[in-house]
Amino acid sequence: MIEIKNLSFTYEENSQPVLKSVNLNVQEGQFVAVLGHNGSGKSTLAKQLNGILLPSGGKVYVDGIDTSDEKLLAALRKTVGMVFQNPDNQIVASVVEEDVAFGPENMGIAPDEIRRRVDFSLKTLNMYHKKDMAPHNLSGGQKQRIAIAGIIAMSPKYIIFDEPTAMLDPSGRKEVIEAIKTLNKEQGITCLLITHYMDEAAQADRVIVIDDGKILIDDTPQLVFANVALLKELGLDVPQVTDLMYRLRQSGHALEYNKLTVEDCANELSKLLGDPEKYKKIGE
Amino acid sequence: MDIKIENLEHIYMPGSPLSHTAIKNVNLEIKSGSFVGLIGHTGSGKSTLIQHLNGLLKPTGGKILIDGKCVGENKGDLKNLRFNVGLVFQYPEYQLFDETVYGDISYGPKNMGLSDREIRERVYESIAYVGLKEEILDKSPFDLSGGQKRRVAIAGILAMKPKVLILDEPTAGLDPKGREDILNSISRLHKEQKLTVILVSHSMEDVAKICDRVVVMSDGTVAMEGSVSEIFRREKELENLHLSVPQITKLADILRKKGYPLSNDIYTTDMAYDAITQLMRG
Repeated sequence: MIEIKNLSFTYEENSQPVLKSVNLNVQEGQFVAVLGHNGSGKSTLAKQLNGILLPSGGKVYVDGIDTSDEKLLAALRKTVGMVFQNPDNQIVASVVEEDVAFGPENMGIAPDEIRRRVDFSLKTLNMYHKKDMAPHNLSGGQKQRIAIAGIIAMSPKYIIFDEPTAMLDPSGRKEVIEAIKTLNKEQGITCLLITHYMDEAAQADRVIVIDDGKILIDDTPQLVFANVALLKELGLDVPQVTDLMYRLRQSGHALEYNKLTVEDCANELSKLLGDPEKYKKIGE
Repeated sequence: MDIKIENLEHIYMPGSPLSHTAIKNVNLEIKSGSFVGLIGHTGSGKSTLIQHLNGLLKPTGGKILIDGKCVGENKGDLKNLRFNVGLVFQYPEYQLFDETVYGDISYGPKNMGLSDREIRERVYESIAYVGLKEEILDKSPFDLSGGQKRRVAIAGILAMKPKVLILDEPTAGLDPKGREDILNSISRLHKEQKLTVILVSHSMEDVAKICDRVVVMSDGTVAMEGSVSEIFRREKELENLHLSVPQITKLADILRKKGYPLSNDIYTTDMAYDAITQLMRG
């Protein structure tokens, strides 16, 4: 479990705090999305979770490890993996499988165990067939999956994804989000996804909205996205279909507020519209 | 400025074992004053294509005509071309270099040999367009937020008053508010200054909202070209090219398949809202 207690953080002395007494618990196995505008403190919070940044006040514990305990830093980094925005900055080797092996090699793991882990990670990410390729010949989505495989090879219990899809094309985005969902559902890895894409956040179990260094909303995606007016006020966006449903509700149409996927919204709208036949006759 | 691309081909490192054809057989016409969305999967050749438009890359085959003049034919023209065709790279904030925001934005116009007064006017005009306040001019660009840096970088291009503005994913990594601000500035520039704009984007929603035309690149060549509604009608083909249609277009598509008489060019929330309320009114 991740336990954040009264966490505050300031980058330099005498400057404005970026995080202001944040309290948050994340249970094992959850898929949590973190939203917030640029400068809200999302990435700062993420970097607290594996000790890249240390609290100015308060405490962060991951599975009981105090992140500010220097002696436990190696154990902490093994427990919490991080994936960043730019895949090119995260790839170190010139062959895919060597890149994936980089983490476990540094952990001093035996060669045949490394082999097993590399094969397993690449298969999980559906990249095994590319293991002998040069990473620079891969697409953005593929490179990002290699970066994720490199993290998986270290067998972390938690992975923090800091805007992993910001630089990808639509199919790359889809690949990475599917990979995150697989890791969460099949491997039971706790995933924290920082994103600006609301349709990605809508797929999480829990959505947290950070504003001005504080947690403002912490709820299911259905309830978070029902509050369209507040999200817009915070400079956030809502998925197009959610916006449409909201506007129709605002103009007095009876629609359920908790529909997020395109399919569910279409079903909800067809309930509202009724039998398609009646419109056809009007059209004729 | 009319842009005409004829049979353009670009091979990186030709004749070497690493030779790689990035684009081939590209034929394209972009009319002056149009607002074109350029989409395509990563590696489809979008960035290679746009770097030809201001002469940063030379074609290994074919040619580019800007207002009828062939790019690169006369070396002296290249400087003028770069003032006329402004290119905003991906993550342009990494290219900021001066001590002050003013210094950074004025770099382009200074190189054009303009007078100090003219430079000053252009700097102020540019920051107004991108929605930055005057007090920012004395600050170091490195003390600004990501969204502000991005806008300073765009202002630096605008200060050269280009006739064609090309932006390579100008909103990547920005939050929704930051994305909207930048897109609104570009949209205003296009309308008020009659700028020709080419917007490279991975966001189908953004392209649907602000562009008139769409060019789809795939495997180094133009796979589709047409108006926004013509392109977003072809969902299956786009998906085969690793692209997608806006979410709302998918919704309209499902409703149409259920039998509701909705038109097949719905690609913004406004359009969907109007179509559905109209249907209910009968």
